[in-house]
Amino acid sequence: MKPEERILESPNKHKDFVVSGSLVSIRDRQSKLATQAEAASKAEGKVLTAGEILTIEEVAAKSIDGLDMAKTLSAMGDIGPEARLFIYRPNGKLARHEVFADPRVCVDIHRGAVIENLTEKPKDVSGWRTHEFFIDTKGCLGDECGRCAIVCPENAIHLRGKGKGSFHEIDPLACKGCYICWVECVRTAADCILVDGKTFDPVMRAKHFGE
Amino acid sequence: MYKILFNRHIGLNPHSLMLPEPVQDIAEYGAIPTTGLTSGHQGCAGCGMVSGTNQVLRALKLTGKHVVASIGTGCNEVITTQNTSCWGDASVDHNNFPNTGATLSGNIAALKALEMAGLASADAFVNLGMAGDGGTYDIGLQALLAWIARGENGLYVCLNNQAYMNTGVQGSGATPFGTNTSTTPFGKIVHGNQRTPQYLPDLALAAGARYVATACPVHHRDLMIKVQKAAAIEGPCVIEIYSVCPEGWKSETDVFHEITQLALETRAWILYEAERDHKNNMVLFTLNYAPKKHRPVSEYLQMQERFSGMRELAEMVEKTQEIIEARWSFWNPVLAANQTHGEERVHDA
Amino acid sequence: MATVLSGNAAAAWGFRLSRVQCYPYYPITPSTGCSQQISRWVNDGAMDALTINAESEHSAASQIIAAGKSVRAGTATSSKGLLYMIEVLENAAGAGVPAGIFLGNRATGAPINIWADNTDAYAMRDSGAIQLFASDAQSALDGVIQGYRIAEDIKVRLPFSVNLRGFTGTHAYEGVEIPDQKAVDSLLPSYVPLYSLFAPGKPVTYGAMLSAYPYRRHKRNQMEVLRQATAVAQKVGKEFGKTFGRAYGLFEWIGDPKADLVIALMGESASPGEVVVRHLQGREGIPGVALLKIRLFSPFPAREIAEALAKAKTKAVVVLDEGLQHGAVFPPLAQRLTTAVHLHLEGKGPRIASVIGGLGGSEVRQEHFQLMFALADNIAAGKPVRTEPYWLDIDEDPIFCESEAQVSPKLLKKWGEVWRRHERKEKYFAPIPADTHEIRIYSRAGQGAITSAVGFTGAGILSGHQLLTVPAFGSERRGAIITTDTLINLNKDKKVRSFNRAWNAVVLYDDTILYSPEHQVLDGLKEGGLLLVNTANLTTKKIRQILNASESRVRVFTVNANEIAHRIGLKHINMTMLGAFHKAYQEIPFDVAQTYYEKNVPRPRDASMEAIRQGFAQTTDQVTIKPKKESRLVTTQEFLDWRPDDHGMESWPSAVEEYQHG
Repeated sequence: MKPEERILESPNKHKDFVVSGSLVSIRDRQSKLATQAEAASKAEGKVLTAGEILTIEEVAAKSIDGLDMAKTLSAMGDIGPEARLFIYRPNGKLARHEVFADPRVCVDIHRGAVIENLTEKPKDVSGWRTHEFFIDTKGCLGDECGRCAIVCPENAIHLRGKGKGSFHEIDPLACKGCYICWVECVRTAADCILVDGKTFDPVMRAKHFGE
Repeated sequence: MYKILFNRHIGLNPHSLMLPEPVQDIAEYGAIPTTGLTSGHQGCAGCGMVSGTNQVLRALKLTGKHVVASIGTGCNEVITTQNTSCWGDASVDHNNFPNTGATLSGNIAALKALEMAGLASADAFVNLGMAGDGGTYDIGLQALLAWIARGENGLYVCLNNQAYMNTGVQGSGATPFGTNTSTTPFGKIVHGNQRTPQYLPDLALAAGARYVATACPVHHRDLMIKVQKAAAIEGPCVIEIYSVCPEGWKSETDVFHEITQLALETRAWILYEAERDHKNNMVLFTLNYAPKKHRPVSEYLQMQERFSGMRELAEMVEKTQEIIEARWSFWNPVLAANQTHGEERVHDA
Repeated sequence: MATVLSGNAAAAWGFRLSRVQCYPYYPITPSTGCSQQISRWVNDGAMDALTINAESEHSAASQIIAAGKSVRAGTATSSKGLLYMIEVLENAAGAGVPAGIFLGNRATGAPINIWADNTDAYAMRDSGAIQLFASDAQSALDGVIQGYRIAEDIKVRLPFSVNLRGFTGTHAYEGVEIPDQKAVDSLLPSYVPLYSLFAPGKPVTYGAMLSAYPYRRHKRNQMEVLRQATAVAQKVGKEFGKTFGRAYGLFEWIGDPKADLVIALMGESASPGEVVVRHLQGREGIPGVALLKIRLFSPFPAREIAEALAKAKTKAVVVLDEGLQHGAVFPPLAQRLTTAVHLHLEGKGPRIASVIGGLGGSEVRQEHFQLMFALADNIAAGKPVRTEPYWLDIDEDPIFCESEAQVSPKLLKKWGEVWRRHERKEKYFAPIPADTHEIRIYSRAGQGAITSAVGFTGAGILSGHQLLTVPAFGSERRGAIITTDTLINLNKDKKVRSFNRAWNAVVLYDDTILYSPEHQVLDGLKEGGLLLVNTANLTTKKIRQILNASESRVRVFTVNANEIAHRIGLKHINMTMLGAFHKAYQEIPFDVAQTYYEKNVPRPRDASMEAIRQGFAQTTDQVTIKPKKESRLVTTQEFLDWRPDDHGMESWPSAVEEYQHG
């Protein structure tokens, strides 16, 4: 006997979740979704502005709206090279400013040991690898594939170009030579990654693919 | 306690009972955002965990939101922030080892407070918690379960490499039975880890998580769907990622793909997800991968030296197999239904 | 006019006026009241903040550290709770997060002890936070506001804690001026983080792993930044004084500006010392005396303190530590002060002795200050001094040895010479005339005695006196007999916060307390003092018989409060007892008090006022005839009905009413 079917309540606009016994089938939606008021208009995605700290050189080099530049520079001059200007400009408008002496001794370290991500340069880890990996750009499927890039633990593989003629490239500073991309490429894609200039590494191929 | 329902279909599932629209399924690789972590981190060559982190960050890119990651101490944190930061355009708050859940909670509260003050809007950000299995199953469990129980909106990712790799491969609450670790060594009398691991999805569901899933970076379409779902679903969501660790598992770096595939085919790792509907008090389980052929667990054990002693002992291998079969039997209703219909669904990565 | 607040509620006002935006908490005695008050405000919509019900102090601390990177965050804790936080608290200072913690200071055990001392605050001294010590409810409130101002100063950006002694500070109700919100806003502008997690334009990483070279450079910076807090605290304390008329410094010098003898200490325990200093000052044969009440413990204002001692030409300093530093030569405060004097005055500074006292709720009484000044006198005279701490109130190890047979023999071997050469100097021990009236209420937990005492405190303040009510907390259970003490200062010029424990009046909420073997109600009652008993069937004569007391020993008043409350329809007898007490004790004019009660009694107000008036009218010191016997029944029912929320921990009237009436 077929158990009774019922539809689960869901906000899903495309699918119905139909229960029969303990099993649920997902089917294209036939039932009408109870009309709901559309979600409130999307918030404008407001994000916070952080405060900024400027040195006397930085202040001198630019003009800051709403700030008495002469007075600020003179106050900073009184303090000397340790002088800093703190400004807070939400929506570009000056809301807070203060001249102060940098309390740090070692100015190469940010306050609170915070790191500004975008000013950091990636480290060169090329010394880690014992084999050289290159992608044969002629064999590479370009943006149709990308399996190597997505599995790479180093984020070392980047897509170059767009559409036809696009290809992937291994960043020689970032590759640690782990073979993950190579296995991925041979297994599921184009077999276009060269190890030490060869596409055919007999030892590895025998190990992985019994060739 | 809750009613258990099974999704009849096995495979990728971009649809959710809780979302009006399906999430993006990246079949076209060209559409995958290219930036996860930046390169040059200090992780081992062939680290499966970083591969997972990269994919999580790329998937979150698809949501268009800014990532605020509260990360717990562990390999992932140490290797990505050593005198630098590999987190690119994501903001990172590393606080300590035991408190990833609480740090996540604090950042969620801060975002709410900023929204109350009209300084930021909550939907411009996604709050991501991230920790290893030690920071999740052991020392961080209290903070994590409390975060889930408070029902705050965020996404927690556990990068499970099944032991404390950052400190020299000690056994954790997620270490499989029989594993040889530095604190559960394979001795003459006691043969490796004697306890069976806990399962994070079970713990999280019991605590009230809205969405839980397991994933692995080899099946990246599946992983990225799950991350997007977890980011979209309102409430606490938990994803556990199978993270191959060549160092701790004593395996070669190149067998990342093979180990994962074997784990899935021996069912030592199961890809599934569950959505909890609190109103109807039920959980909808979806099995995302069912192997065509069940391979014996001994094949999985064979690839990793961490199992080198126990895999020679028939009764330990047998017990491992029993643990796997017992856990797999949970899926009998959905497996039976799929056999009846003669359509075994296996998705392709 | 001042509002009656407990120390905890005052700290909560500090957070509220500072517009704290995120307040995670985990309850722990004795600081819980602060979190309860804030939760109440937030849930009632009176305060725009997010509270988080954390599952542990560790998580609460983690949450203020995370949230404090973006918004103003705070929490309160005590004792083991603080110790549980310390693991993560160092990250707050390391990452430069200006979050605030209010600490109800408490012992840390083992053995478990929930009462006050500074061991918990000492345990966090290496976590890199600014540590301020408050000495009463007012300075706790002011301290929290100033704490945020100092911590968020662009030169500082570090976490801070405001410390208040448990129970005698956190649970003491007194008059507090609640500052005006606008004035606070102008002193404490909104918080702008230097690096924000929610500013995608400049993504940042907090808590990166630093190797030795950058790590030591960061720690060098962190120490330098903490040092800035001294000057900032001084500036902020002055600014606060300009705005609110209550200026604060790094420390307070109380007494003779040229004091030869100084007792250095922190926090609320200074209260009895202030009385002693006033008493000893100018007495014949006694050199200049002063208290050095240190407010900023971390960063320790070493130079400023050394300079103050040099300027006063102080000869001897006795440092009182209400906490330990196991294995060290001196406990933390004595150690810091000794180092400061040694380094800044290069051998020309005062001699120093260290005293440990006030542990685990031990009272630091006026007589202890007399002892310490006498000790300082000996040291100033060049007598030998112990090279390890003295202890207060240990019979086997007294400060002065009066009988060698009584002290520990092994200590006699070690310190015999020091003891023998010291002289007790009786002139320091002249009895201190009390300028205060003190009242003790014996009641059963849940009868509402605290509410009535706090109400009485408010009425007393309105009539122009300074009052203080300290309930004894810690061991009450339903039905247990608890005490609530109130001090009325008759000297309008000087503030007094210390009890002599000589009662002018004792109130019994229940006549069965007369029979309790644990409680001798006449103990401490002054000759001819008042005794007010709630009784249905005992006459004043019978009560005197039970107590075996003559008419001159005690003046007994009775009231049948159960009957009155029952007739009016009130569950509690406390309002009736409040009225009755006004009849027995007339120092606070009843008409003035009534004007206070009319606005402030708990709801239903009419019934409460009626109970107060009838209590006043029906109290007698005459032998009365037994009325109907129903008291036990009502009392029993009251115990059964008791729920924790009846327990007036907060300001009186309740917080809800307070904000509804602006």
